[in-house]
Amino acid sequence: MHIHQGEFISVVGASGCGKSTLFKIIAGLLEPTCGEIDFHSEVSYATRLGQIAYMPQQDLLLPWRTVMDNCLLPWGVKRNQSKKESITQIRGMLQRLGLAELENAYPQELSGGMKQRVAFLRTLVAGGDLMLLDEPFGALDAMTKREMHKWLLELWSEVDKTVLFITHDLEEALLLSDRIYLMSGGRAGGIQEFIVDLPRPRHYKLNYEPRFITLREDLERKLYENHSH
Amino acid sequence: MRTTPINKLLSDYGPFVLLVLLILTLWELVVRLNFIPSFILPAPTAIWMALLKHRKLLFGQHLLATLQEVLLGFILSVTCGTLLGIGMHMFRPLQKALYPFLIISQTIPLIALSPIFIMWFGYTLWSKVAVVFLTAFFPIVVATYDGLHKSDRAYEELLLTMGASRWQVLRTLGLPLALPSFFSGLKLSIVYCVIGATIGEWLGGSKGLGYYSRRMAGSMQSDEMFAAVFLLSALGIVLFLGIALLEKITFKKRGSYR
Repeated sequence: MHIHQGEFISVVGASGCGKSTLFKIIAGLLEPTCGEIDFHSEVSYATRLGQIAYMPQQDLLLPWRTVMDNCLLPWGVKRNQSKKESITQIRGMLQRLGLAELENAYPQELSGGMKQRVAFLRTLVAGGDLMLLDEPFGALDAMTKREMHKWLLELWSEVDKTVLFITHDLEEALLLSDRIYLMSGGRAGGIQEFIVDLPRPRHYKLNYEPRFITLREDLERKLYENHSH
Repeated sequence: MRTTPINKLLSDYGPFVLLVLLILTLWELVVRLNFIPSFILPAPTAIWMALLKHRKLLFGQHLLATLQEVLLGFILSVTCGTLLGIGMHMFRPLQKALYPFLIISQTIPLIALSPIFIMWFGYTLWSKVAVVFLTAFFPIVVATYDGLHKSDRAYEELLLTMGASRWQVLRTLGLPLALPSFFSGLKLSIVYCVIGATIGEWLGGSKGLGYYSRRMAGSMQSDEMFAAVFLLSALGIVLFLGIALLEKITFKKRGSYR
């Protein structure tokens, strides 16, 4: 598995095949039992902590902090710029995500979609060239999800960030990614690469184009083969 | 039906107040009708009269003395207990070495140990503070340690990926998460403090409600003795409510989360 700077890569595979574990290893939370992660030609897993932005499946917002204070969490750890700068930066992003009025709200006052957006924002603020997103939109309704895709595509094309993305939604994977890795579980489980050669910038209308539909069929068939082995 | 504040008060405390009134009336009757001699069980009104009669002595001297012991012992327990709880959470060997000692310290009967404190510290304030400390210390250490230990692994991992050190994780995650448990410990501890102070005073001294109640019991002045016991219990309740209020204020500051 290779990932290049600025790529958008999705990882799909059946539940329990180890996608989240892979992410934890990449983030530096776990030590691999075998194999190596080579990040900027650095193999030691502990040095990756703090360099890779990681967004777990649950939103994990601290319930006693407001939206703003939750987003300030990475700043509180890193202290790499002034608080004022961070606040301005976060305000701008809240605005773009349509959360501007919720700056002082507590997480329990937010809907599931809002919480997920705040968690996503926090991941962005955490910085790092590589972002690991573990099913970030899994709990969202179709409308909100579409909104988030649009926003993510826009944002990703502006900044030079590399994204690794876990999802169960094949259309989502095709729409967003440059390449997709299919993972299968078990000891003999391997990884298969699937290239998505759709032009960018991408848009939702792409979903209905024949090229997209063939790709989708292909992907589905491969995934099924993978699984039944 | 809409609940007004008064209705809520009535439904919350009504049954309790009613029962107290009933017991007090029965108690008064039983004593007044001479079923029980008043030197064994004085009537509530007699206790009240004794409280009023000796109010200067009771409030001005003995209550103050006990309060001083309780507060000193409590502050000392909270400081040492919190530090030790955090220390045990951060350094595993410390926890392994000290936890058994903590439990052993609680199995020693306090009454048996108190004379030794008197030997060490004399009949001073500090012998009582030592007894208070020994009773109040334990719940605080356990509450702090357990509260910190329950901290959520998923949150911790998230902070670690941001590059947080162990102390940063403790500050931003561990301590706020441990706060509810910590307050439970404080509430238990403050009540123990009053008990500890009373025991300390029993064993020797010249001031305090415990000392006073024992002296009165010795001279069969049960009205006065019961008045002192009543004050001790009231002191415990007031201190407990104080901590509960502090808890409420603290949690209000961080949204409705508790």
